[in-house]
Amino acid sequence: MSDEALRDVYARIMRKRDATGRVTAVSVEQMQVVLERRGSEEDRVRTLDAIMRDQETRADFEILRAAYEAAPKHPSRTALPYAFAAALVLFVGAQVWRQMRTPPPDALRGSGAAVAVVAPGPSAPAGVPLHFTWHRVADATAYAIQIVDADGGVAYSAVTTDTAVVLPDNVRLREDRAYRWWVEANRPTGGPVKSLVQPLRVVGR
Amino acid sequence: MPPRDDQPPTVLESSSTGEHARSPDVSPAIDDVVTQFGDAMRRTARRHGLSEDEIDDAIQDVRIRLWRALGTGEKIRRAPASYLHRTVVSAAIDFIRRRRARRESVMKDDDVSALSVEDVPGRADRALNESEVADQVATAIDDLVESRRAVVRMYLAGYEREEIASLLGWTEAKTRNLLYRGLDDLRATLTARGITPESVRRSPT
Repeated sequence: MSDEALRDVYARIMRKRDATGRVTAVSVEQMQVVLERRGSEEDRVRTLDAIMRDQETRADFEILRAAYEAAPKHPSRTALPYAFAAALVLFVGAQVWRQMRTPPPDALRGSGAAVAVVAPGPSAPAGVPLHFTWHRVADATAYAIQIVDADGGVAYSAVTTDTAVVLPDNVRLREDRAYRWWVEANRPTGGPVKSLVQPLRVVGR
Repeated sequence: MPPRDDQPPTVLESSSTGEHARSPDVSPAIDDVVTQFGDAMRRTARRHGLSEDEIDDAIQDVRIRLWRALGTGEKIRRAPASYLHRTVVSAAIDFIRRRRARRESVMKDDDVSALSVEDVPGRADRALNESEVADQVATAIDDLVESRRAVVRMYLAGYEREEIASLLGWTEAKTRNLLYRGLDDLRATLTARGITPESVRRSPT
């Protein structure tokens, strides 16, 4: 019997098992032991054997495996040397930092997909709660808002599922100082979209 | 859109100057890890039974978790590989647990899923035959020596030899040896039980 034929029958076995709802009880922790190569070889073989007994458990295992591959606990030997990686991070950080001191290019394009902000306007009175609001973006699952001062220092940032944020009482924007803020919408497909960068100045009464 | 009064905004994570040093936009750093996770998921997950929606959901969960965990540039700069690892793995584990809970809930609510094609009268004979062949192959796999069984299951599930070797921490030669021996044992058992290539061909999916 060919490998192909055996695989076909095996796929049938898996579908049948899934249809009966009989799922192997392999805990997430046991899967971690395999992925981290802990424990004895015998135990790891036994766990993998159990994982392979049904499609659902195997799919669970693959999700976890993808996480381990995406963010390895320790950089692999073939990865960039630490010093170079650190330099790369610094370089990228510097580029991002420079982008931040000037408004993000994406935010300036003002494409149809960008986040449309509603409030506040360029100036807001001191002493009253500051409400930041924007229009919903189709498919957005979360929004990140950032408020930065003239030097690029982040005064406040938040991630929310809503289309509004009230600046908490413990965050005080200084009067007559220039701030900028923008919102980034996170979408499952198509990548994040940003608002235009908005100027903001808190004006004393 | 004005702030909603009936429901407080759902802020997942926020921080202000006290916690933030000068913080660049965190998206590029997060995107890097999320892209790797997405690539790993898409590379393997489809052939292990995950739908596009599930893949997207898992990727989104990881993105949101990183966004929440690494809300500041300072944290990104300091985050060692082990921190990223914990964050991504933790998001994946939560996703798996929710997936399992959903599955259990569906199984409880929908017992008819346990019914198979045998319930369609016109297909009863063929289904019985398919079922018999599948049962015989499943039993023959169960009877394999443990070390060979795990390898054979993985191979029949579509894993490449290199992948199997990597997951088990074995050399390629050891994996190949155990796989071929396991497949030989399986074929011999099936032949002894009267399961031939013709039996498989007579019972198409």
